[in-house]
Amino acid sequence: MLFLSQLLALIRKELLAILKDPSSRTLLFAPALMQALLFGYGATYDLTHAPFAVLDQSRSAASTEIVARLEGTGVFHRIATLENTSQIAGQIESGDALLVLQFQPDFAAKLAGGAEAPVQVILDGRNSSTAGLASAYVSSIVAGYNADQGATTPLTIVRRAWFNPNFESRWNLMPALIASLSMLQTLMLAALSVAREREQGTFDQLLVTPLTPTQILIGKALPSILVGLLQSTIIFLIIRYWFGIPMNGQVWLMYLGLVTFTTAAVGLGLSISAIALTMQQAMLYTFIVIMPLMLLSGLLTPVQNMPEILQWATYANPLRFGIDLVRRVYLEGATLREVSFDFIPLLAVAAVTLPLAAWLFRHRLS
Amino acid sequence: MAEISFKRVSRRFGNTPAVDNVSTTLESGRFLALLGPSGCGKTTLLRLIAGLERPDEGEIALGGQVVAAPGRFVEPEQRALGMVFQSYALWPHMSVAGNIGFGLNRLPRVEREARVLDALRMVGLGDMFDRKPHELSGGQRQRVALARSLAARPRILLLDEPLANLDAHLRQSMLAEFRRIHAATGCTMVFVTHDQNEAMAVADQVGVMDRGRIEQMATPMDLFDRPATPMVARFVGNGRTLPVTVQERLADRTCRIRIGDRTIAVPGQVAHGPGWLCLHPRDLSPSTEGIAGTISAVRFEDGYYLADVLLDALPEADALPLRLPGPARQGEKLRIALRGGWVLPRDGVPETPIAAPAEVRRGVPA
Repeated sequence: MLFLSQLLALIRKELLAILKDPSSRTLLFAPALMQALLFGYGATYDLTHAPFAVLDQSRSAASTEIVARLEGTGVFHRIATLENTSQIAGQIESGDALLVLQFQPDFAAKLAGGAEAPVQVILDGRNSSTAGLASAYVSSIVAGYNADQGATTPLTIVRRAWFNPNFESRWNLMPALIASLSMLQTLMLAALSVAREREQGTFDQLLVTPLTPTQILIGKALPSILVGLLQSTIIFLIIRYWFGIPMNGQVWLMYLGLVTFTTAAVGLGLSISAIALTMQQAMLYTFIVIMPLMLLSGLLTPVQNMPEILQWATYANPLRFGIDLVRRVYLEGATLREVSFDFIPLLAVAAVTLPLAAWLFRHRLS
Repeated sequence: MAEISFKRVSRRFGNTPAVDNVSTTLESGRFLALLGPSGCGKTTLLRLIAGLERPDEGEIALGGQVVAAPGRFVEPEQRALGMVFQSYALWPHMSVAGNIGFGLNRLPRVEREARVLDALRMVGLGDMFDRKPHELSGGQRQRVALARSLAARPRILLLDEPLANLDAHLRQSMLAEFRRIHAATGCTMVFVTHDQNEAMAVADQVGVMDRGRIEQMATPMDLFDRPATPMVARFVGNGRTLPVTVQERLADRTCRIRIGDRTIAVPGQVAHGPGWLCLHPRDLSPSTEGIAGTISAVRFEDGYYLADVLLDALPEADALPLRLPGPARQGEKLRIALRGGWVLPRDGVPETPIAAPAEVRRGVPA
């Protein structure tokens, strides 16, 4: 009882410190809202506008048909019709066209003769992911044409994408934001909490009051965790209802994962805070930590693509498992059993960083 | 209400001993001021009492209970002591009452509120309980900090340079406040300061520290009349030490010494040999009879002309501070009569004079 009432007093004090300050109050909501919208609209790899040029030396019905199909997608826009091969380079180099489609003079003849009739696609590889998408799109249109022509090709590839039928990159990215965007803030909030009191000179005062380090730890951690969950909720609501990305999993399971993940992040933040002597140091350390956490999280690039040693390093990264857990619960509808592995590293990080922070409160490295 | 005892306590930071083999006892209910130049270890000693630092060696006991010893450490929150910091250390987002009541959660609400009001009345801020720290003046903030540590009814109250941020007028009234509160509560108080006027005005015992050691712990009067070391003699009350020869220890607790071409009797208990004659401004007066000297500098201070006088017989020694009734010129010859003073033995190695901090040099001659 006494433990709880002392703890509540401390939590109240911490929340007051966060909420009473108008600037930090704005920081609680505005960035989460803005970043979620920005990422949703801005950070997309989807092919929405692909300018292209055509060099049709065959001038046949087949080539006209293929170009028409391409334009019919609404994604590809013809910006130029070329007369000879020397014009190709200019289109690509200037960046005007993402790709140039070339039909050689014998295209129609080869096609009629049943031989292989290549369509050349020259792509602007400087923008590799968009070019890759465009190339795949063109291939699928050509394949569709082939199929309609009475199956000269005996095999057709039918692609069916699971979890994200239209391959919208937003679908993949945005659930990950529920974990990653809120981490930025919780880490910072936790990192500043002890450092702020060190700087104000109130931390020693806190230590001589009858509060135990465990109480101080929980009192410092809970408000940051609450703020983190609040931010996750804002982002979750935007993703679910503004962008309308359907959720396949259980909300309670996602929140169970988020609580675990945020606790681990706060543990990290409090450890930083306990080492730092000033708020400035705490900020600096947070920035040093946050970049590798983001890069090694699988947010933007799959962890499987990283060198093995880095893959091992990601086991200490709560963000990796936070993102994995949220993504899988949100998109795949994964069950607790299926994501249980994600909880292990998260709990391990929390189990190390939180006691470490409590220890560092007392034994600041001098 | 609790005795403080140190047995051979040391605390080092790196290779620098901040507190060096200190053994001392402060009786319960006393008011001790720890006085010394910056970096002498006085604040570290205070933090050792509070439990904010751990001793590297030695044993600390509070009220007969060992709180720090090899293999034993009582955490600060269990030491039942109050601490007031130079920076006030108030939580900015909490009201005055919130700050004071923060450590009192173990008490029922009614009693807690009564304690807060009691403490506020004691420091003369009975009507300020719902103010925020930023609405208070520096002096009021320090009173709130004092009230906060009093509200917990500590056995020991520690004050770490509590007046350093206040102006001279406020300091005087706060000093009176500390004395009154000491009398009212009867708790053992330790007050750290580098200002000897503060120390002597407030405390019934003053511990003079230098380089991590307590040079002398005595009443303010004894520090003046019977300094234990040349450092204390120089540091306290704008003192000076002159190298003299002790000719004989006399029966009436005085020594016969030779200074220049004169032989005089001065209080002290030193056997034949080299000695230090310790002098304060109050021991010196201009006279027609006396030791010959030359004025090396004059300044007007506190309504007097204060001259630095070099004795003709000891031109290499400290200049003596002499109050003059009227203006004088540099280079003027005069004679000084000695009344009082104190003799200390002078060891083989000549003591390097300890540079007194600027505020000591400017200090009012007692």
